[in-house]
Amino acid sequence: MGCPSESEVDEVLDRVAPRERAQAVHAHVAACERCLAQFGASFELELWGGALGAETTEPARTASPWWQRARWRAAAAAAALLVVAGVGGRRWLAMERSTQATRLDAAAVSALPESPFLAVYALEFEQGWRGPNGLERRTARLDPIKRASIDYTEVRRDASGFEQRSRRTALLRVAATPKESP
Amino acid sequence: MKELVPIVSTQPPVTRSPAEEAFARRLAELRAAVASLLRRAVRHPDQRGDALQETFARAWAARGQYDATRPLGPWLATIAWRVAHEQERRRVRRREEEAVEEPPASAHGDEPLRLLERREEEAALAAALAQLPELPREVVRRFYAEGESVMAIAVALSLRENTVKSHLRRARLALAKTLAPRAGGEA
Repeated sequence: MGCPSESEVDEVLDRVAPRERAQAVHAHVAACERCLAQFGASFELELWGGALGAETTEPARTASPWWQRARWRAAAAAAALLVVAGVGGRRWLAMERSTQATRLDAAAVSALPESPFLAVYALEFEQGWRGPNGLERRTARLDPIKRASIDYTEVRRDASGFEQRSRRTALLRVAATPKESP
Repeated sequence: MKELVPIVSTQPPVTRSPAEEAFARRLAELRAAVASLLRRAVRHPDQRGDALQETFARAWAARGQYDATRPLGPWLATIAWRVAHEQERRRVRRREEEAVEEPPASAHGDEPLRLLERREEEAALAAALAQLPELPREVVRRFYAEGESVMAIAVALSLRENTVKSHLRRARLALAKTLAPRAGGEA
């Protein structure tokens, strides 16, 4: 075919020309240097959807659905979470160790010279015995703030019934409780 | 430019599915557009035909990766730009091997530079579009970005079809000027 007229080209550019005619014009313009110089830029607008308001598309990205495209993001998020959890865990452990070290600090224990034994072996202990007066059990807990004393719960059960009392006592007195057993 | 037989022929062979047929038709409709882009992107006229063929061959080979819900033009343009970059790199390398005096590769064979040029052209086009009055701008957006037909735009905007065509024609002339300065390339 010969070079198309402007009106013929406009019909093709407007997408209203018959398909065969449009294909012939496209093929001719693509191969004709003169037509390409005259109409090429107008045809080229078909390729610039991004600049004309459409989403730009990369071949690799358009190929896969969104969950595949987001896969690397999920992996990155999981890795970041692991790192944060690892760092946080280490910090928490370090803090926990330092706290425990403070609790069992030798200087703190030495402030209670009368109770080195309890300070070392238990923060909590339980004693129980059965005698003629029934069953008796004591649970003692070392108060981390008031270290000179121990809070303890005493449970007594006999023929008259069940009794529970919470008390606080000096460390040495608690340490002497085994002597009270019959 | 020499006449080339397209690899993606518009004549349907028996083995093509309807989807492949539609894809081939759309490619054929963008042939002049890609030729125009390569005319600006590939400096040497003898290599433009090869670049055109290679662009369509790659697009056809990658047709399985194309998302049909998106516009084909930008997708094809990306392939064309890539082919143009590779052509330029090959040409520069060949010239260097032949010890012919040639400007440094970074002057025109560099992909980042090409990418920058492309971004600049996109920005220039967007700026040219922004200068259009609101109605022609909306017509252009619907026609090129949304892929709507002249008739559909006329109905949507309550215009006559001829009015839509006039808006499109004037807008095309204005926008094409943005792409025109680079046209011609190296003789």
